[in-house]
Amino acid sequence: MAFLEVQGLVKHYGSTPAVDGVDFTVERGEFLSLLGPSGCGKSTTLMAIAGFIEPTSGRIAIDGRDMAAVKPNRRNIGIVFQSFALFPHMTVTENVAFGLEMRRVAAADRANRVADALQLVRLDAFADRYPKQLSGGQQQRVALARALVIRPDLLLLDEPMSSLDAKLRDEMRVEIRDIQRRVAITTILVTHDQTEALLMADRVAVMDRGRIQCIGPPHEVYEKPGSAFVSNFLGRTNLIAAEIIARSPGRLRLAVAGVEIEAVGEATGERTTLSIRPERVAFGEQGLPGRVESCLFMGGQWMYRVATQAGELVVLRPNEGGAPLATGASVHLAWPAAAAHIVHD
Amino acid sequence: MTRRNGPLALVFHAAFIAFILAPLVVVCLVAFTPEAYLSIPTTRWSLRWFKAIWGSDFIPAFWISVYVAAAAASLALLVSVPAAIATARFQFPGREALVAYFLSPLMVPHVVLGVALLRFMAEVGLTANAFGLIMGHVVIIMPFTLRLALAALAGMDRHVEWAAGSLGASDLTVFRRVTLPIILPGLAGGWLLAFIQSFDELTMTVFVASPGTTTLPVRMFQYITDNIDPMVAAISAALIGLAILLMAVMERVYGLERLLAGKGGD
Repeated sequence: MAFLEVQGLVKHYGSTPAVDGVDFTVERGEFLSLLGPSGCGKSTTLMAIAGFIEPTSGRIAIDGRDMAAVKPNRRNIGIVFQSFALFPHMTVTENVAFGLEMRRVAAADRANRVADALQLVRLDAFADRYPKQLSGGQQQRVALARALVIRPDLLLLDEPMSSLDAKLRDEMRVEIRDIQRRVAITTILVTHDQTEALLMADRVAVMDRGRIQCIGPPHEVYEKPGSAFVSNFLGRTNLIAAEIIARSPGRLRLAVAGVEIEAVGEATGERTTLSIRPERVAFGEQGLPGRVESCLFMGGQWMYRVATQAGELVVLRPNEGGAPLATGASVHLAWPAAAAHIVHD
Repeated sequence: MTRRNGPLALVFHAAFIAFILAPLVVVCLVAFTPEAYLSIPTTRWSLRWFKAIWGSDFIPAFWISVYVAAAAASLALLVSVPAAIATARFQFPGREALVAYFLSPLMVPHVVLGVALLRFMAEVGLTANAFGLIMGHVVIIMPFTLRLALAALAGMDRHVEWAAGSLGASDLTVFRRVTLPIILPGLAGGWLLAFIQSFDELTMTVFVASPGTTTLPVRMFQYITDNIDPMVAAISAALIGLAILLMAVMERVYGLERLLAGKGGD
């Protein structure tokens, strides 16, 4: 049995469903990321797990124990909010000690644990400051220490990085990931940032319109998105219409603008849609003919837009030091059969 | 970016400020006259009228005003905080109507309230009673405490309360340890505004006050209907001085803007 079980979770606001039947499980010590655009129901799901939002229906169980009748303050869950939600009238130490105080931990033990927690997030030198005297990254670390010091069964991170600037965000992702590994705590991260979800989590669940569209390890979800929404949301992709010529188990023979190709996946009917990641497309002698429309330099990569019979495709090629293809050049686009995935709308 | 005022605007602002301040300045000047009639002192200054206040029945009236205002502001605050939490934090049918009802005393003329309260208190036997007067004031000043309590709660991040809850605090502990300290500046601002409103209230109080509960504004009003001498000017000057003193103290201790803007937290 999984450590956290969410079954058939539904939350309606009035008649509109915010969460419309969500099922997933999280193993002990696992890091799951709920990824999706704003309004997809990911935060509502998280707050239902925390107990602050009462589900319309569905079941949430932690370690086999049903949470329906358990109040938020009895769930032993640590939460880091987007706004950090620090207590402005308390010092860093008082903030971190609050949860231990509520658990009636003896003063000496409390002081030790607070000190340990502050050391874990490298804030021992700021113990006596007030939150408003700290930078955004420091405030976030206080919030993390405050959530971890109570040794929660579950750590919930609600868009914790979205109010930090880009550079700090990159650092904190790695840092939080490291801390999560070190203390081996079951964690759920809610984010709308695909890089963050892919980078930090053991598994990613992509949500849209109140449902989980796709769940799995980051590279699998990225490589085999399954739906057009997921492939578009998880990084950039090329969606191409294709005609089905022949079928074999797990494989399809397709025609894209008159050029025959192979793809992985199953599809019924005569037409289908392919998803091909821009970094998997290469220029070659044979393949889909096209014309270079534009070429943008991105430092590590060149981004080409190529007009073809099947529509405009984006191609990412690594920068190997040489000159790029000129605008207007005639090219052929090719990709490995395994890079072309059937997606459903 | 702020635009600089043109000369016309500057003249307008100056005239506006002068119009507000001139009467106060005149009252303060008149208070120092040595004469027995209202006049601006030209040759000589005197504290004669300030000395006259001492030992007059204005002093007990002042204390009654202070007691009534403090009691009414505190009671109004006690009622406002739960009302503000209920209406700011929870959705229920009739929520908007309830807020409008609580704020409605702002809309009703005080004269009307005074007449109504006089009749009502006569019926229930609360005339000649400080309690009745205080309750009347609570009705009038409650919109102020409620407004500032609502503003303080609205300015507060809901997640801070959730964070406290997730850390193991019960609802009561969350309120006592987190919500209350954060909204306290807003509540203090509301209390202060309510106190000033109550202290100042004349229109309604004239109807309700009895000989035992004559507040300072009522006493002054009665006095000037019978006498025209600089005594009232001296009292006014003393009140202005007291207000300036209080504001200076509060500015030092708390920051007046923060108090009256009703902001919660930082």
